[in-house]
Amino acid sequence: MPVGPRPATVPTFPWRTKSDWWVKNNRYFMYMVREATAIFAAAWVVVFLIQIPMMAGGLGDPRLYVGWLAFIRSPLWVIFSLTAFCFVMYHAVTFLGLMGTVMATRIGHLRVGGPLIVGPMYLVWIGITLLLILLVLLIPQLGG
Amino acid sequence: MAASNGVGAAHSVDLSAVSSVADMIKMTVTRYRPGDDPVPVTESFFIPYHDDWVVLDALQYIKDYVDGSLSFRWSCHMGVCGSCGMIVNGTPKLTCAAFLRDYYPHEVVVQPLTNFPVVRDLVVDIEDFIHKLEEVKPYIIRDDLAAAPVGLGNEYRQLPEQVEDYKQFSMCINCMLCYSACPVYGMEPTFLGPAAIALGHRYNMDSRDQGRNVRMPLLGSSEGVWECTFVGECSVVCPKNVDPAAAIQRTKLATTNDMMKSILMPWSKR
Repeated sequence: MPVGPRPATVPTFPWRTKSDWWVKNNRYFMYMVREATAIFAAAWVVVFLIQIPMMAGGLGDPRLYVGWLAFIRSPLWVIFSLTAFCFVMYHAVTFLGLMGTVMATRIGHLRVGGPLIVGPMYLVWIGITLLLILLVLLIPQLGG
Repeated sequence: MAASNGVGAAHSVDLSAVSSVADMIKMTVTRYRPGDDPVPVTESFFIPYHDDWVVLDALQYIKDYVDGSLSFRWSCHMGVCGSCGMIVNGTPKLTCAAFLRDYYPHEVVVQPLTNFPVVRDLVVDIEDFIHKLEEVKPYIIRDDLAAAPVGLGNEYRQLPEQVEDYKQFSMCINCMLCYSACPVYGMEPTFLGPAAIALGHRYNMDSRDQGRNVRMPLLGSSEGVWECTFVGECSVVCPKNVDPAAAIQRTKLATTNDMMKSILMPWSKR
């Protein structure tokens, strides 16, 4: 159901958005950074998915597993992982920050928004992170 | 006193001599005179500085005492009518609320609202915005309007919290600063835009309204809320704190809920 654009009824000089619009304002720039974080998150996940069979012993080929160990210790992968981590953290923080705006609602007479929504989300995030850290530390001990 | 640069310059003076005068401020404005200027050009004016003047006062001074051909829109001079929106030093602002003291002694650059075609000087064409505003039906729709009795005691009453649900979004003065700040609208003119969606959301949230199902097909379309990528600048520049970005994101949530309900509860009306 498109509604526009409606052409002008008088002679005008048309508007054209330039390709560098996002470098002329810090908030536009940070928006583009926020959008770019998705590329790093996706790239890291794709590489991680490729690594899963290598982690599992190379599907019967130990050379793959040894190759994977060498790969994750390489400075290139460490730098990429740290960079991706920083971008994903920025993505997560901005995402949670926006939730207070998006999910604002009313429960009876009480208006729920902002900190009341974002706060519990941070608590859940921290809780899940701590749980995962605990599992990572416990699994080798359980495996003996 | 005036100086011009660019194509279509009409006159010029020695700026270095003028700029040394105390209590003067340099105003650089965009000029576009159809028929004379093939493209918009800039023109600089040195005018007296007063710390209680707003940018609109400075433009009016230029028009009254320097160049009567300078064209710009204004009406109320008190931040209500939404007519005097322009780009001031790169930011969309109501020029009646932008004080010169916030820029002095630096130059003030005034341009027409970005993302709109320029009619003349600082005047932009708003036809597209008005059309989109009409399309979202920003008024109360009632199924029973024709049969509704009129008179004392038959008003559509609301609780204070019901008013609070939409009050913020009803503050919009249609100044179009949000459209000017929205890069999505600049690149995709089919986008319904922040103010129109905010006003659609305002009436959807009004307990007296029954037109939600009439508005949602347009609001929830690809040219509606789903074109928005949440840059958020619309809410930053809004002079009335309407927060159109919030209205858009909440409408996204509402359209998603509608879709899920239609799948899980096809017998439901919403």
